[in-house]
Amino acid sequence: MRTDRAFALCDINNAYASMETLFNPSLRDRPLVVLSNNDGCVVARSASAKKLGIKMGAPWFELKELAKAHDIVALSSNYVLYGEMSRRFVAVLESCVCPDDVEQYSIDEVFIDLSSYQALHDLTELGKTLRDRVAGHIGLQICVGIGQSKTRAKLANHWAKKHAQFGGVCNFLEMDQATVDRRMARTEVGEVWNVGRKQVKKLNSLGIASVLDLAQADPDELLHRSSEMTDRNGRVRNQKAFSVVMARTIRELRGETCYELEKDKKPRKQIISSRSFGELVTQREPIEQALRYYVANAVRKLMDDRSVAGTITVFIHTNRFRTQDQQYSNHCTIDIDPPTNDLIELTKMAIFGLSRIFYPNFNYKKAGIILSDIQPQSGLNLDLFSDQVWDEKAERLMTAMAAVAAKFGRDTVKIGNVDHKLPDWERKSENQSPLYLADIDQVPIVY
Amino acid sequence: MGKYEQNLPEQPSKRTVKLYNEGVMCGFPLPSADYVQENINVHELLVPNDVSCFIMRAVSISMIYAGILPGDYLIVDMSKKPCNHSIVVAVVDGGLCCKVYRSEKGRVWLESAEAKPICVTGWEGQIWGTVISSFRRVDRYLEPCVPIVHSHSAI
Repeated sequence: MRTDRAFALCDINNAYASMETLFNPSLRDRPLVVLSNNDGCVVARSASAKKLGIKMGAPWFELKELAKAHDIVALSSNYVLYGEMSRRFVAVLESCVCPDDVEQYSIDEVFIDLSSYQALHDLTELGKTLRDRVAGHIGLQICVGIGQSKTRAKLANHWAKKHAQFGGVCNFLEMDQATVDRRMARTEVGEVWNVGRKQVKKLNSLGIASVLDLAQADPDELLHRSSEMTDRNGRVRNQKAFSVVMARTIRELRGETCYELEKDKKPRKQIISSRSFGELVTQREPIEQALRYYVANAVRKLMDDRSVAGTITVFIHTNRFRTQDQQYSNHCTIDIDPPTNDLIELTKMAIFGLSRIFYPNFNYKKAGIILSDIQPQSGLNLDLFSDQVWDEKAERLMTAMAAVAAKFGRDTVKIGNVDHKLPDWERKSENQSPLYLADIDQVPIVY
Repeated sequence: MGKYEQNLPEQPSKRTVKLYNEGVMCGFPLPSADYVQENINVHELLVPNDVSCFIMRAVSISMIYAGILPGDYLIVDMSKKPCNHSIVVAVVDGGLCCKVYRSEKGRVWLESAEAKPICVTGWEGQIWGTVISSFRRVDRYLEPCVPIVHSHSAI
């Protein structure tokens, strides 16, 4: 077992709620929830909202009574604000350690490889410094978990959050084996990184309930376990219960390093662009318009990764919770040969795909597209018969459109008929906070 | 909101003003590029730390005596601790307020022309940040300088 490695996970406490409160201090101490894109369900909660027992993902309409009783504030998500605060969060950490040792894992989580800092620094002290720095520079509280592997760092971070006695920094390297075992025995296995809800069920059925149970399990034996699965046709099949990921998780829990920092952003394997409509739609025209918008969104991501897509899937469905409505859902997948990131081509295909599956007189709730079979643009071999001149033309057009977007705003140039004003299918965010950091006319007001 | 996403700067925009070390006289040709000494970076001048500085806007008249007019933009540095007579942004009754920070005989007072001085014990939590610069566009000064107040306390 190698013990010379050390990783830290820094995580912003109640990230979205804290960011909102920072610029609107009247929200301090009030229960605050942040809702998803369509104001559908809770995606973030403040500390006091958590105390009220509001669960992550809870539908907002179910909470309205509780909200009235406890004066809960609900805000629509403001990802422009969260994105900028997240950028600053990473920048503060990168000013404390070597930027090469920093990996942004999610909008509010950062892994740091501290292996080379052990010799010169007390890591717990370093963790406290990071914590003070972030609080002092951008006003956000963070917790720091330190461990010999990423999985241990993540677990330590969970403990730092749960137990106030750590003062926000929990260090595995300073704990003796007995303490580690005791804490692991008290923590549910579902808190472990990379252990999902389905796996918790399977693990529980094998008698593995706590983190300690998992750490003491035999990875090789687990790998050979199979579980009975009922497939779509009702047949019972035997399947491997766990993948090699679970074996790695066990080794990581024991303090072995299996995962290094992931510095290179991996290109996405699949891009989904879809959203529920603000209101039910029966006509084809508004759905076509929405699809154009979704394709444009997806192509932007595709071009950011310098990738091309090999298939496009269009899907539509009605609202299955409206039992009074006739239900319909369908999708259509089209192969793209050669793979492309051409907005015009992909838009055409999406519209064609819709024409194959659209039937009038249903109350449609949602439509979207999925780009898959994504590969890097550079590795693409054009075949002899593909029209290279056209491809070059299309690429020049795409570059020009990107330049116009950079200069005049993202939604200036579009393909075909896309409504410029925020259309009602696009977003139903009623209580979004101002773009405090992005728009000069919306900066915080000082009295 | 989409259009703002694009505008989020990866790097601070560096707008620069060229400084000529010779006076420019009417009728004379412009000095050649050789005379350009260096560039003044207005952004760096007003915003020394991109990570911890935030831009805000003053709307009240209570800080006129300290040189801040309603409508002025303030650059507030969260990482800078205030010293005696610093202008700070403080959290008062759930709102952000501009005050002068004065420490006297071990006590800290937040002062402004319109309200009674407030005595604060710990500066954490109550002091949001230190104002390090303020500016206004004078060509827009006659436009209404009080922006629309976005308030969420009413929700």
